[in-house]
Amino acid sequence: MRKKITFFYIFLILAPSILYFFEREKGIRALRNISGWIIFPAKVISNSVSEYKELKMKNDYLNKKVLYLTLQLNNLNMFKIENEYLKKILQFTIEKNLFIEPVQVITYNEEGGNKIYICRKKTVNILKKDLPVIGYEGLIGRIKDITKDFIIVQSIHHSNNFVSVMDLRTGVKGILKWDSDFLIDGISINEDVSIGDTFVTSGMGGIYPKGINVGIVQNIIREKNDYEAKIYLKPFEPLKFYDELFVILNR
Amino acid sequence: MKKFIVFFLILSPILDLSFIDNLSIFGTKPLFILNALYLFSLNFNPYLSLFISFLSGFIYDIFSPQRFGIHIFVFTTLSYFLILAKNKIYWSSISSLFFILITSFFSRFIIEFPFSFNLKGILNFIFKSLFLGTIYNTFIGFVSIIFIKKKYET
Repeated sequence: MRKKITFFYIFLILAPSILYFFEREKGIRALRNISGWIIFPAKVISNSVSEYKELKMKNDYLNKKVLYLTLQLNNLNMFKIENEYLKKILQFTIEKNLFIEPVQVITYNEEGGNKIYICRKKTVNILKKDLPVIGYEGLIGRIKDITKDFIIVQSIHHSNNFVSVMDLRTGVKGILKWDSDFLIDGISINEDVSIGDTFVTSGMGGIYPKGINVGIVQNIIREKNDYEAKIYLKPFEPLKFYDELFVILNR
Repeated sequence: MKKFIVFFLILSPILDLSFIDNLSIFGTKPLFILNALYLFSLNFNPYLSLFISFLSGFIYDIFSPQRFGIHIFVFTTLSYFLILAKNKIYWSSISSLFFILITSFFSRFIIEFPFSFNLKGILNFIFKSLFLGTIYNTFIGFVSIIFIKKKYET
């Protein structure tokens, strides 16, 4: 019995070699081609299943990503609302486009230490009273009066001209006034202001827009008995004659 | 039973050559035909099981791009050894597991040996396909044999 099985086994093993013996390679190739056609539908189904699995995985991943992004969007929306609320509290305003109109300086006068520039108008009916005037480096003053051909600019070197200023580094706010020297009022001795800090307009006065350079802190006096510190400022635009100045027009 | 054989001969190559990709674990695929051959060789007439092994090997050779005759040789030899060891092994014991492991290992070794000798291919073949595949096949084979034997005994 075992011998018969062994003979049968050897016969079966040797059977494929007959194909090679009779050079039936073409036949094998044809069989393989046919088998390709037979297995084709199964392959299609298998590929569809694989594709489905892959798409499902991708879908799950995208769902997670959508959820994550939705949460992030909610957070950002919350931040936006909070930001708007803070802006409202701190009275932040959106900056309008600033247009500049040049004016030619004719002369400047001093009235008891107060300085006034007299300039020639180039265009008619654009300039108005209280518009800010700047030089190449920083703030000069504001329009005090307008005549037919001329404008009178009240410079910041004038005892009646007060400018709301802000420390660019720390955001500390005060009021700049001229009293034969530039002095900032309204800053307590504990506030963080140091020599060399740049002060710009804070935009809170309503006349000067925010962010115009005013000056650099030159000296600070903090006396124990005083509530406020005495901060002396060196202006970016010193007392001198300018060929031309620029009026900022808010449109 | 004839219907079952025909069904097995058609289904197993389709299962092994197309749908097996969806059943792979760590990129390793089981060879269902080996497990099916264990069951055939242990339960059927030796001549019939040898012939079925030959036929399944022939079908696999047609479907696979490898050299014609490899599957016939491996399947028929496996069936022959199973017939010889049929009455010498207690199939519900752990020794059967060892036997399945050895036979699966050699069968897969001959069928899947890469004839392009690049190092990456050989390492991938040894550690991924051969060892993992053998363990995969042994597990399925052992479970199915126990199941069949229990059914056979009852």
